[in-house]
Amino acid sequence: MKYQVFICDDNQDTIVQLKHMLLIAAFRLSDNDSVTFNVFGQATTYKSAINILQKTIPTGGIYFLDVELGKNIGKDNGFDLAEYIKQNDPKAQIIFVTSHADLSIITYQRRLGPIDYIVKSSNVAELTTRISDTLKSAINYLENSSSESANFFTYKAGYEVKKIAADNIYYISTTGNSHKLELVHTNGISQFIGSISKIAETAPYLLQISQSCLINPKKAEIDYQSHKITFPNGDIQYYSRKNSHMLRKYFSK
Amino acid sequence: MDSSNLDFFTNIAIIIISYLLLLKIIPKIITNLTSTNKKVFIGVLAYIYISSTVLNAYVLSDTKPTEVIIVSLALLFLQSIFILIMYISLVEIQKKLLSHTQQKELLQEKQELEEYSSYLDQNEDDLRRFKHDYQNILNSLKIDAQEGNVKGVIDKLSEYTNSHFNEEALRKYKDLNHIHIKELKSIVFSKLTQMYNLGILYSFGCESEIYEIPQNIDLLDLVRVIGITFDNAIEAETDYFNSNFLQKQDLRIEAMYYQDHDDFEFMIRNRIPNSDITLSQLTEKGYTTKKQHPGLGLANVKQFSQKYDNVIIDYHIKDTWFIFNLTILPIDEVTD
Repeated sequence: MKYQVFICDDNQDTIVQLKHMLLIAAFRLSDNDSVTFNVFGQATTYKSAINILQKTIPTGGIYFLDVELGKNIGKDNGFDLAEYIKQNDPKAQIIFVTSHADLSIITYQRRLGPIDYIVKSSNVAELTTRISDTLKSAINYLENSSSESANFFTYKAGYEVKKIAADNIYYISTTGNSHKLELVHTNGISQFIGSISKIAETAPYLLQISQSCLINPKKAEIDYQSHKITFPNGDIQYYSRKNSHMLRKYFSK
Repeated sequence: MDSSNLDFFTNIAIIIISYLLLLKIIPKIITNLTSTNKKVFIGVLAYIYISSTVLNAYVLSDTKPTEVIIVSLALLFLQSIFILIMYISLVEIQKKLLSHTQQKELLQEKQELEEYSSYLDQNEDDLRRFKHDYQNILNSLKIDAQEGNVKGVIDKLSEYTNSHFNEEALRKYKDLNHIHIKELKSIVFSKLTQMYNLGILYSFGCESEIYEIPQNIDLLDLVRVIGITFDNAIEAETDYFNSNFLQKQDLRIEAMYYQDHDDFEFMIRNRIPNSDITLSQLTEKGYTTKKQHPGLGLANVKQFSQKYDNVIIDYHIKDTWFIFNLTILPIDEVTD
């Protein structure tokens, strides 16, 4: 597979070094399928980067961006560039290059969605390994997202849109607070604002067992005697009597 | 006739005197009626009123007060005084206790401020030194470069970089200056100090300038929850280190404040071992169960979420992180 790569760093030497490491990484990541990286553009300033990207931008490109780009703190830096890229190439795989290990990466993940980063280091071997690993996960993401047919449940937690593989859901239930729902899944719990009836309409793979609860039948174990449904994490939900016929029918299949 | 005149005058005198007395006392009564002790105060007033009414009735019903009535009158009077004194001393004790905790808080705040300002001073010094060094280095580099001594240039530069730019201390309290709410700033400050002293690698980010958060939230509640989640993360990392699940350099805690429109978000994540640890194991061990107070952590966080309709929480495992997320939505986002 051939991947389109863009590099923006205010230091020309870093660009040269990165290109060199891309060659090594391509060699390491190739097995049956040969992997090549084509650097379609490179820039040393925010402005020239935008100029290049305005002319040509791929879908699902890989972008190496310097965080500390230029002199102005907090303006026209790598993050602003990343924001531009995400808008124009939603599948973009962005990898920040920074000299500070204490960079608050979660702030930028919150702002830009999934991004990766590498810390500049004088240890070339270590850096090459780190770049290969990062590229590997970027490639994985690109491959999976193109062949992906899996079902996702999306919900809004505040202003942030989150999604979770439908198969990982255990159940969604109401909480004591109005409009607040709780989604319990394989890896944890997530609260969000919504209504059970609206979700029941849009997510046919979930089964409504009562006024206050939707379950993922694939993860549920049903006990007809006590009207009880048990989930792998030990949580229990009870279904209302009027649904027992429907549930019997569903689970006997 | 004389005695009735005297009666008249004494009555008027009593009314005038009590009016003057009341004028002085009324403001005090009002503050007492509205203070936190208003129930006790009203109780005291009710007691005095009822007992005097009962007495009055007794005295009026019997033209010749017997000794029993006089004694009980005296007793009731003494009791009323006793209760009043009790009430006053109770209020005094409360005041003292309150000022004591306030003083403690102030003291802690002062210490934090001092530490923060000394950190800023230190930074200022470093910056000045850098300015000074910069000119010297530039000059010596120029000479090396003119002589074509590239290796010398690189060596000098990298030496300087290593000794001056990798200092963690320089970035110890990064982004704290963007938080303009005292309580939210000081909790992060004290937790960052704690992690720094424990030698746990951490990062804290606050990109936006935070001046206010949704108004219905009691800041003390929020600060408590933030403190608990920091404590949990620190405790988990220390546990993983002590039980050899993680090496010192792999310990890591990352936290942030974030503001999108007018909400407020807090997120913290701590590194967990790469093995297949399930959430229930985690919630049993590192997260909810503190040694002294079993289950205190998560219970408090859940309580906080239950108290406010506009607070949503989220905690889960992803990759090698345990992630905790708290979002406070603007109130009008949830009431429609």
